[in-house]
Amino acid sequence: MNDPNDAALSALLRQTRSSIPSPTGDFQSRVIRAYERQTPPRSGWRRFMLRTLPIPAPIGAFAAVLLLLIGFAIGLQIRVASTPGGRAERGRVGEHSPTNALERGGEPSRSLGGLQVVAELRPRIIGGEHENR
Amino acid sequence: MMIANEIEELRKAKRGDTDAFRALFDAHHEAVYRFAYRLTNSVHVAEDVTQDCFLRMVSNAGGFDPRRGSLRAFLCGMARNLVRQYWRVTGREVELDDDRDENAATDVVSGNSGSPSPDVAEAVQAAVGLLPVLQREAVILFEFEGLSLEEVSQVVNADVGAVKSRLFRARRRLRGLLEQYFNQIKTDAWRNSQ
Repeated sequence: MNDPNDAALSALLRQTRSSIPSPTGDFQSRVIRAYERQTPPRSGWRRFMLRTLPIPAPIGAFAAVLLLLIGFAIGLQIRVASTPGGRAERGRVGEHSPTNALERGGEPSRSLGGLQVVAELRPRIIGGEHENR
Repeated sequence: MMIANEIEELRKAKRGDTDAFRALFDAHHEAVYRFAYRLTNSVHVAEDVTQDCFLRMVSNAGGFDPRRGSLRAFLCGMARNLVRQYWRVTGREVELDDDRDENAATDVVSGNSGSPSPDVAEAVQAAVGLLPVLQREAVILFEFEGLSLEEVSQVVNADVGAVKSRLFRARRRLRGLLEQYFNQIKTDAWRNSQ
């Protein structure tokens, strides 16, 4: 491409570099308006909330595992605490139940001690002259 | 504008920073507009292509990889695709073949058609317009826009060897088409050197 004819041709082409008609007067403002319609500017608060932070992968993985472990430990604590009296009291609940007694090899207890005492009932005749007395 | 700055400006423009968008537009819109105009020969189409190009640049900011080339080359590549899209939509047949008849329509440029000879700029524009599309875009990007061979190959999605070949054939054809002006320039240059 070092032919002198090429140099002359390049000179000829260079002459016409600036021979392009200019864009219309409002071209730039039209493009800027189109851009603003397409990409509305974000507020500072929204920009802060949607901001992304680059975190190295090993640190991210370690943080994820740590969070899982913490979550598991907290879940375990809550399960133990939600049982009445905790693990220690669980033995006493139903200690005297017939099933437990059978399991221990004894007779199931058959008493009415747990029943409520009912007040004596007196018969009453409703209606007639007995009622007025 | 430095490439590092451009990437930062592009990020800001994506976030809605109008000033950043304006800076990028100011830096590159003329080149994109010129390229689109030389391909289409229409101010309105070139404006539409340039506008679409910059809006897509923001919405598709992730598509720009600075390791593959400059932002200008990236934008010209988008403009090229948009022009082809426009040609398809308007039903224009795009002849991509490099080897069509080289003597076709030379009279339009050389002024043998009976009409007065056009001035140099018009003649060059007409001659470039007569080139097959693949040669035309290579000439526009390399000769008029001053992109490197690597950047041209990135824009036209071809290897550097193919771009060189297209440029060689385009130059040969332009020399034939512009012979009249070409000889005049050589004569002027010779006179100036005396």
